[in-house]
Amino acid sequence: MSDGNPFRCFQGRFLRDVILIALAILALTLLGRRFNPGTAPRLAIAVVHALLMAWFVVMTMLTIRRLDELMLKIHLEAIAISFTVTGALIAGWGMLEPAGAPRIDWSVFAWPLMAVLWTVAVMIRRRQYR
Amino acid sequence: MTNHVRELRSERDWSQGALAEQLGVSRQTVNAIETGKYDPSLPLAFKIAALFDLAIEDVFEPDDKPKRRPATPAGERGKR
Repeated sequence: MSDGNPFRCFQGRFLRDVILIALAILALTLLGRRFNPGTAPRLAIAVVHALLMAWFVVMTMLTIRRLDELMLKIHLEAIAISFTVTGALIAGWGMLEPAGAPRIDWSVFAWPLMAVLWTVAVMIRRRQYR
Repeated sequence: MTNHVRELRSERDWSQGALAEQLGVSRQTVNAIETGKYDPSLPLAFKIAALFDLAIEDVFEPDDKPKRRPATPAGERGKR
């Protein structure tokens, strides 16, 4: 991996698993839309969806705990920034929607937005320690 | 805080990667410590000092060293 990769400190396996989980969640979301709400297949898909999200959280925590102290500091700061900015954006957009802004399904977009902000924040913080 | 990690490492002809491996941290962490951009935690600082077989104050120094008070004799303690 290149030296500019902000997640170089993470194992390649983690990044591969994150991509696979993201693809599975996307596929399940699209598949779930084919069934009416309240039907058994739709509920089953929703359960699998939730289990995948739970696995993502556990995997992320386990990976972060294996980082050394500087990387841990960088990543925790980046997560705090991404969490705060995402929360502020969702709340801000929630106030804009009644005023006519287009409706956004945050259950789909919140995680990718957090991931992008996390990556950007890690890149910026890592440069400062280089 | 200033430190002598780079000099000590060079004296032993260790690479940053070799030192990082012995300390169980990343090479970037060693580099950040050497350049003074990151002050290690106390446990890591002790680990570094132990690896160089030195006391922690021989490796790390505060930027503005506080003047040491002369040691108070035992019999004087508690007296005003």
